[in-house]
Amino acid sequence: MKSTEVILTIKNLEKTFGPLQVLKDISTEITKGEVVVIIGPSGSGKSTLLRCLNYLEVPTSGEIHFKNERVGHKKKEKELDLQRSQIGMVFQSFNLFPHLNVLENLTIAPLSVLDVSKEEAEARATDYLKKVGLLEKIHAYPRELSGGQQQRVAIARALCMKPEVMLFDEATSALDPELVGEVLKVMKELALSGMTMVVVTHEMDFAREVADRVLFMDGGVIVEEGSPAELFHSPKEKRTQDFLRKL
Amino acid sequence: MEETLGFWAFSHTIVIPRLMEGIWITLKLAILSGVIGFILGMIIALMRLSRFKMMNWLALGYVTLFRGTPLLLQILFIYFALPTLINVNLDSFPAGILALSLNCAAYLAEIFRAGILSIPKGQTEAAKALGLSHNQTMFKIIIPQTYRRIIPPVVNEFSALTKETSLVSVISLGELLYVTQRIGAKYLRPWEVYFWSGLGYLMIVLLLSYVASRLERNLLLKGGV
Repeated sequence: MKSTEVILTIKNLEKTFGPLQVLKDISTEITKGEVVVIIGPSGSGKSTLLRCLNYLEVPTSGEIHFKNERVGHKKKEKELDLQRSQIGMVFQSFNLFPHLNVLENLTIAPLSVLDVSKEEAEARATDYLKKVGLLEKIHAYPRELSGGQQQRVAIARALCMKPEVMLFDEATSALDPELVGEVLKVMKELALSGMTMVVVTHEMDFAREVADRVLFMDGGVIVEEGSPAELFHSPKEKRTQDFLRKL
Repeated sequence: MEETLGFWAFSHTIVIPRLMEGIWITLKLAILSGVIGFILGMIIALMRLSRFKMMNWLALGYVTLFRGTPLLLQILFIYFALPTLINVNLDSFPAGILALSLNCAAYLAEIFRAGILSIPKGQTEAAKALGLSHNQTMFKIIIPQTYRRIIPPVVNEFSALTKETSLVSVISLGELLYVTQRIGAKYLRPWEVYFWSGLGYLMIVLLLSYVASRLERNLLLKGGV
């Protein structure tokens, strides 16, 4: 099942905000089809790391390579846009476009970035809406949807670009507890379908069940990484042990 | 002879027909300057928000200049001083349009800038993450979300503009106030004349408010932003 094709390479990544160093010398690789879950206390730099992967956050130093091409760095804006279009991202606050209905939210990027036909864009939209179970909401506006529904639409919107990898930035943190399940279910199905995923989350059950590899971050470094079994049952580092005990 | 005419007869036969000529020019001034000012204001707002420092400075200088000096002075400058500087002789109508558009653009630019800045950062990030370019993000995602929230201040500015067209009377452009003063002086019956003239301005502004409220309601039905 696992291929060895590396999709994302992170090399000596550093990020500072003013005097604050948020990421310190991060290096890792993500292979095709892998589901990597990043856990850690708030302020550990996990969201910043995720946001560096598609250059929403510009790294202070270090390199990101996406399919053997360096991301962002001194690139023409157009090339960066193209790379971003192949890296899907789901945000904590959904960020659906409120002036567009669900269908328009799903088709705007394929139409404007990938130049696909209207028929193709709408076919994709219908297809992915079906997958997230929201086909009946195709003409609704975002404000008419619950948080869980909005986040499922946001996932479908990212998938409509047929990305190589999906980034999830605390996708369930802003949801009411009873709505978390429906979003996690969609994420699980996506993982099972073979999508490469990098997931920042506080949902430890999701990490245990779905992750191929778990990274534990604290203080801007990857303290420890391993399979969910290794990391959750026999963490080696004291900081990991402390974090997991507090959950 | 005119002294013997009653209020209605005087208004009906003399004041209103003459004022209609002026109101027509006032409308042309307001609409043309409004449209030109709108486009120019959008360009200046985008320049102020541009990533290029040079653009920021140019736009800031523009706004400072046109917001910091009296409109009356700007009108007089364009009509009287410009010809002595660059040998361009503008008639009073184009000179009026130019002064009003340039002035209106400065205020609108700040309204547009405020509108754009009021859209949450997450919207830009989501658009960028999908691969939309800077321009696509601006024109397809951010600016459409500002429409409903900028309508009230834009209507404010257009109302002000409608009334400021009266300043152009100083360069002998026959707009509403100019005509008003002329007939007021000719017939020596100022109160009827100023009454109808005031009502004229009021009607234009009321019409503007009505259109704006319709627009707001339509936008509310479309996604509520």
